[in-house]
Amino acid sequence: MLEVVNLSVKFEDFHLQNINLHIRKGDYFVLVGHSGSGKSILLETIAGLISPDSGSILMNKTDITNSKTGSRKIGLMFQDNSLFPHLSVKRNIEFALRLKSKDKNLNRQKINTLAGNFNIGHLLNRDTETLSGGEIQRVLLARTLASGPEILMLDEPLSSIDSVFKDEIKTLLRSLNRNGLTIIHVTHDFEEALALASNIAVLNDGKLLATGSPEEIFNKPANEFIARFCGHKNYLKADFSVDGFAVVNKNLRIEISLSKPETDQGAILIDASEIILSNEHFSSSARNAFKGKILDISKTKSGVEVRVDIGIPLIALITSNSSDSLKLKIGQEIWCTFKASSVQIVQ
Amino acid sequence: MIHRGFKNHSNFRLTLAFFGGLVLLFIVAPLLGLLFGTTTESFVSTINDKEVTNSIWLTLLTSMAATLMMGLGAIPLAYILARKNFCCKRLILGIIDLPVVIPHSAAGIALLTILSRDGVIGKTAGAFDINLVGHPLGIMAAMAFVSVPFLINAARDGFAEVPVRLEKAAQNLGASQSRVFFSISLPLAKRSIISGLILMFARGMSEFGAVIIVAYHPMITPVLIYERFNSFGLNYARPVALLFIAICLLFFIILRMIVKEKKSHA
Repeated sequence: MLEVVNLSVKFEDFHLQNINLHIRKGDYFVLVGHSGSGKSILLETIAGLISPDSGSILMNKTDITNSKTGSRKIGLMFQDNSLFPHLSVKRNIEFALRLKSKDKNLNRQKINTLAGNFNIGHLLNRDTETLSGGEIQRVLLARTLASGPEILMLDEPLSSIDSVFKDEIKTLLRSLNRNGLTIIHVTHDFEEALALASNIAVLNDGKLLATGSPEEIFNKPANEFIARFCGHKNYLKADFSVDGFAVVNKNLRIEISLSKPETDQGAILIDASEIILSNEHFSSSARNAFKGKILDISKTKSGVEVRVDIGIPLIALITSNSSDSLKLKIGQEIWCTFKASSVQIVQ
Repeated sequence: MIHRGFKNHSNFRLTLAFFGGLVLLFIVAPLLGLLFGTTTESFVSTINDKEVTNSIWLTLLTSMAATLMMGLGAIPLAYILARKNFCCKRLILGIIDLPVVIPHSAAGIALLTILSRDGVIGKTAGAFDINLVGHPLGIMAAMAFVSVPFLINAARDGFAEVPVRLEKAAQNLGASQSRVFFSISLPLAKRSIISGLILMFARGMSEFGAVIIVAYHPMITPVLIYERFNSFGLNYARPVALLFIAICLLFFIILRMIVKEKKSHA
C-alpha cells in the first residue's frame, strides 16, 4: 500500500538516511525509537509536510513524493495537541469536512457518526481548551478521520495522556485497525509497540535498524541497541567455540544448550530473571556458575536489579524478598548461576 | 529570621514603589497641569472652533486610513517574517525598525524626496493632478512611515506565537495555503494584530515631525497645536492640546474595550 524507497531527508541539523519501508493495507505498523531518532521527521515527510532530498514515496503504486499533503490521503496526528483553539470541537471536525463538501446536512450527519464512534457527542459544543488528554486524542482522531485518509499516522498518541486513559485509546486504535484502517504509529515505548503492532520498525539516529514482526524484533534483536530498546538486560557479543561454548570477552566461557551455531561470531541473550544469585556455590543441573562482585543494586517495578561483575557486567533480576534474605550490598561477592538453556543465540 | 527577611523585603518594595511613583508622577503631572490650567470657557470655545474640530477629524481619518491601507501589506509581510528564513532577513528587520530610531523631521525630509513633484511617487501622483505635498495623502504617507513598524512587529510576534503544527495539521486535512492563512493563522494572531493596528493608529495620530515637513497644510492637530503656540502662546494652544488628548484617550479606551469584548466572546 505504502512504499518508502531510499528516502533521505535533511531537516535543520538532522539527517534521515536511506529509509526503506513497506506497509501493507490493514497493517498496524509501529515505528519505535528514542526521541531525536527521526521518527517525527519521517512521518511528516511521508505526510508531505517536509520535502525529501532523495528517494520516493509510493501510495498504491503511485508516486506521491511531490504531491501536496492534503491530496495524499494520509492523515497525520501530531504528538502535541493540534486542535484549533479558536474553534469548538464540532467546528474542528467540520473544518476537515467542509474542505471536502459544502453540503451542510451531509456534514452534520458525518459529524454525528464520528461523534458516536469516538464517544465525543457530549463534547461537540465544548471549547477545545477544556478537554482532557484522552478527550483531545479522541477529537483529534475524529477530525483526522473526517478528512477520509487511507492511512492514519499517529505521532506518540499516548505520550500526553494519563495512564488510565491509555488503555481506552489503545482499544480504540486496535478497533480502527481491525475495521481495515492502515495505521502507522510512532512511539518511544517498546511495550506500547508490542501491544499494538503487527509490524515494527526500529529507528535510531536517522537510520532504520530493523523491520519485522514484534516477535522477530523482540526475540532476535538485530543488534545491541535493539536488544536494549526491547528491554533485554544481558546482550553479549560472543565467539562460538566448537565444544558448545559462547566465549565472551575472549576468556569468559558460557555454556550454551545448542551445538555450535553456523557462524563463529554472534551474540547471546541471557534472561536476567533466570539468573540465580547465591552467597555460596551450589551444585545443580545448571551448567553456568560464575563468581563475581556486586557493582550496583537498583529497585525496579519488577523487582531488584543486581549488576554483577563476572569479568563482564551481568544483570540479574530477583525479587525484593530474595534481595533481603541474601542481604546484598555493593562490593559483596556473589555467585551467579544459570542454565545453558537460558542462553539464547540471536545472531 | 523569617520576620527580618520579610521586613527587608518590604523595605525593598517601598524603595521600588517610591522610584516607580516618581516616574508615574512625571507622566501624570504635566497632564494634570494641562487639565487644571485650562478654563472651562476656553475649552468650550475650542470645542466650537471649526478649525480645531476639522483638524481633529482630519487627524483621526488620515491616521485610520494610513493604518488600514498599510495593514494590507504589513500583515502579509509580518507573516512572511514570522514563518520564513531567508537571506538578509536580519537586514530587513533592521530596515523595518529604522523609522522608529531616526529623527522624525529627518524622516519627513526623506519622504519629501520621493513625494515632492520631482520625486518618483510625486511625479506619478502629479500625472493624476495630485500634489502629495500639502495633501491628506502626503499626511497619510508621513504617518504611515513612522508608525508602520509598530504594526509589523506586533503582527510578526502574533504570527510567531501560532504553533506551526496547527498550520501543518490544517494543510494535512486538505486546506490550501491561503485557507490556512485566513482560517488558522490570521484568527489566532488576531489579538496581536489588532494591538498592532491600535498602536500604529495611535502613533500616526500623534505624529508631528514628519508631517509638518511633508504637509503643513491641511493642518493635523499636532501641527495646529504647534502653530497656535507659536502664533498666540500657551493659553491658546493648551485647550486644543487638552481636547485632542481627551479624544485620543476616549478612542483608545473604546478600541481596547472592543478588543477585550472580542476576547471574552472568543
